[in-house]
Amino acid sequence: MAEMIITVSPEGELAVRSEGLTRGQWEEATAELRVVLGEPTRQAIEAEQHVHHIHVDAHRQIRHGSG
Amino acid sequence: MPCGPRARLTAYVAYQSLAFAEKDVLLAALADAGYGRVESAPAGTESANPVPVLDADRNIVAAAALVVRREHLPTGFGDLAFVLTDGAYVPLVPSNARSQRVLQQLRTCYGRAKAVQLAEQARRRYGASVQRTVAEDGSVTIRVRF
Repeated sequence: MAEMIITVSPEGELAVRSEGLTRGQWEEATAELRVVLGEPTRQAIEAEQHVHHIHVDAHRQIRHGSG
Repeated sequence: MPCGPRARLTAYVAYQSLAFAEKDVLLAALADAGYGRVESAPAGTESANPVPVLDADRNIVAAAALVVRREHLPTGFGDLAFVLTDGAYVPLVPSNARSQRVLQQLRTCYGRAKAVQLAEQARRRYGASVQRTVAEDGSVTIRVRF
């Protein structure tokens, strides 16, 4: 499950954090923030997890043993 | 192999001090801070800042787009006003410690109102669930789960 965590400190600092959002979702969210709020004071990408694809050969036939 | 937009990120952006750029968020922040009655410039005239601003002695000292009248503020404060300049509502307050405290409270309320707005947008757009908690020190955390 992915989370976006928004925090506001007692001093009024607003931070938005991605925990597992895709890069596409994150870029969309931060682009919208930039339009309204401008450039952030701080920003970082702390970790990036790549999805590994499993390719399945759909043409291969499974031969069942006869005995 | 790189996954481009499908890679999953742990990342953050932080805004130390927000400009009062959005009228609806500012009005929500003012209401949260206890200032629910706000005089607004008529629609379409905001950038002309037509609403008169009075000091504690009832002298007109400026004009603004949004004004909280002094009777809703601490005694001797004068009006709390916001002048629309370059796309942001710039606060117009006396330069004393009490005004700075009111402004600090308002900045916190503005951040909270913006956070609630962002969470609501994510909830509607992605069907996300939203959980809000407030800590003892007043900090607010909103978790939006996808």
